[in-house]
Amino acid sequence: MSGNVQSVERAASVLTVLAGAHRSMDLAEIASAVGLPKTTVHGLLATMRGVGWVEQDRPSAGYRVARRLSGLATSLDPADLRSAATPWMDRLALDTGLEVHLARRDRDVARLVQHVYRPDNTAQRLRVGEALPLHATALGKVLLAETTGAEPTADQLETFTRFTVTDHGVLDEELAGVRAEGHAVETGEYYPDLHGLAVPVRGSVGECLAALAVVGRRDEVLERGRAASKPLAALVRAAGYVSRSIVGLA
Amino acid sequence: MSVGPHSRRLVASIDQGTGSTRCLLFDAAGRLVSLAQREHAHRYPRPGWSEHDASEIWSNVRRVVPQALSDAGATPDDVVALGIANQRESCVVWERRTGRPLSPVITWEDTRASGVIEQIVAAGHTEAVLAATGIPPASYFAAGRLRWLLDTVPDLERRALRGEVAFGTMETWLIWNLTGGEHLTDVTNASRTNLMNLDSLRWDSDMLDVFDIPEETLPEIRATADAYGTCAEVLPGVPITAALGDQQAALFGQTCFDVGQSKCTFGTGAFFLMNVGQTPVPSRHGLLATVGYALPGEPPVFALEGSIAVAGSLVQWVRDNVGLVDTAPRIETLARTVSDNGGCYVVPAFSGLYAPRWDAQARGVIVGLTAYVTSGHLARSVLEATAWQTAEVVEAVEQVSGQRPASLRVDGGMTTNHLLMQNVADVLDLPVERPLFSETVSVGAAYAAGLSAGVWPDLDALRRLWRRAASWQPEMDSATRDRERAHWAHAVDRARGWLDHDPAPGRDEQARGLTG
Repeated sequence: MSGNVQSVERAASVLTVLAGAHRSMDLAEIASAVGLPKTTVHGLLATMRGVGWVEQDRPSAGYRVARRLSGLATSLDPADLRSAATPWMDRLALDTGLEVHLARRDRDVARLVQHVYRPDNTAQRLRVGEALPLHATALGKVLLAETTGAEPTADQLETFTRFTVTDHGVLDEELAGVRAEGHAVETGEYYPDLHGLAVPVRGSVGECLAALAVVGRRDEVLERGRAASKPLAALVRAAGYVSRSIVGLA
Repeated sequence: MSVGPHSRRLVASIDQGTGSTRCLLFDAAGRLVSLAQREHAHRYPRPGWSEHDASEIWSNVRRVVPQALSDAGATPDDVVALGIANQRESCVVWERRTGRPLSPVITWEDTRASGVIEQIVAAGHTEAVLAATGIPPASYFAAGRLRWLLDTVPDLERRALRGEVAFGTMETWLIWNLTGGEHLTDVTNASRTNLMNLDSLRWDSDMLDVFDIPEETLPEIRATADAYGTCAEVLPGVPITAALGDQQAALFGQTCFDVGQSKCTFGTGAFFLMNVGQTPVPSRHGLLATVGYALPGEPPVFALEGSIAVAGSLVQWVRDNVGLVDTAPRIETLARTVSDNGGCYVVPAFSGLYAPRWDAQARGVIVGLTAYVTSGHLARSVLEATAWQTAEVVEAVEQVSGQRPASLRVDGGMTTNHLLMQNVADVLDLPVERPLFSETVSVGAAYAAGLSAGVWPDLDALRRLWRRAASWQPEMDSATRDRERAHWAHAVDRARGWLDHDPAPGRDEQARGLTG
């Protein structure tokens, strides 16, 4: 009995990794992402291909989640995502007093899908459509940690401020922390005065569809260098509502 | 946000809409605390007829209000005031003694009173009705429906003359039931009946004669934010302190309290209202003079209203009837696959052209087609149709009122469409702003109720609750705007008078079916 449960868990983790990818993945990549031997993963993939959960364009090509099963991350339309997310983003802005961003992975950048102003009626500019660096924003770090795409090479880790992480080793360590804690923190790495928190917005099989962030001053989002508990709790709650609103849209 | 049980001061609003009845609770900071809603049945028993069941709507109120309270962990004791916003012009009659409905709710979409209106127009009353009520005689307004009921429902007129029958728009029906028999309406709803004198804000005796309405059936008219009695049911002990029509509620919720401030709600259709101050601007070019709101002891504030029949419904039409997109929001994604309309224009005159052109013979056209045009161009032209129709209404309002709004406050489902909102800013050459919370109808009812109950001291306090969530600045150069305006006008010319060319029987019904 326990063996059956374990294989379901393993199959689910393979599916989650595949669903979060914006491209097909080969056996070695999948095995490394889920931390299992290649032989085990090969068996799981063969079974899932047999029941139609996983597809290959041709034998020996990479694997991806069957389109009919999910593929939410790739098939979810940004306009649908924005339409479903906006009421919850408005409420998050009102609850926290902070600017709210929603972004999706677009190859090697985080693309802003929706932007709700900081609710203080100061002059602000709508930034929808803007590309944000994956390694220097909270949104980007969530997307980097939780989705697969063109990974930035060492020379692409552009320096924006003296806080920008430009070392791959340090970045990988931080991304492991994001996966472990479920949120990412931005402390002046893109703009020196901007600080933020971001969490993943997940789809029906746990894949990361988008990232949701609150952005503000240091003292508004951080407590002793870590995510402040109140805005983080509001952010996690809002991301949950957004997930529930979009699951089933695609 | 731990709010102690003793410090809660919640304001409730009920939005009795065409599709559903909703209850929202707000705290004193104007924040939404909970929302519950329930849809009701919509019946179309004959072509042109549109009905709800008044008892079902009341029973939905009895469900959604307790649901909203329980979701918020609140009791009626936590609620300091209730405000009601409602679908306008829809109405019902009931028996005073029992509260039993004597008719279905005949909705604003229903055209069965056309015959009544034709007689009034034929008798030469049009100018008198317009002068007294600010609006022309039309089957869209409630008086014609009441006359139709009196003519049709057996024994109704005799009983009405004996004072046994109460008539009301939806807020009147709900206030009657909530309070256990107060028969009251508000001035914004009354301004949509064809019976209220726009200067005195009272029932006009000449209009009662023109429509042959027994005054005994009519509710008493109150200010928008006023004492409507205390709830005996649903929220026992809670005072009802505001009532207003839904579009006026949106104007209030957008805090358009200054002359020239304007809002446009982009839903199935689109409704533009501008605050024109303390003197009504007469209805012209299909624009309607209406009461914006009235506070007790203060002069009423008037609005000029322009409606666009087909806005979001054009997107629904290309989704459902054409299959251009799978979901309504995806029209933007499709439109963004191209950089302009490729010369293609859509004029959605599904049931004629409305303000400011008024041509019942017009029908929709898609023009400018070449082999170059793709589905992306078509999607762009669908969105541009809403922008141009808005521009034409705003320009007509400018002409009639002499006021050009400084910006446009928008709400409704289509405001998450950035391409459309940018296009609206571009063709209006005005900044467009979306507030943080787009449920402006419910917000407006709550603001008016809370103002009346002293939760908020004055209009300034409400102004400060308005928060900008997004804004779009005009970016189109004037040469492009002028060229596109000329193309749009040319396309509209092609739509005009279509029925004159082909009066085939059944075509009118088909076209009506598209919008129904």
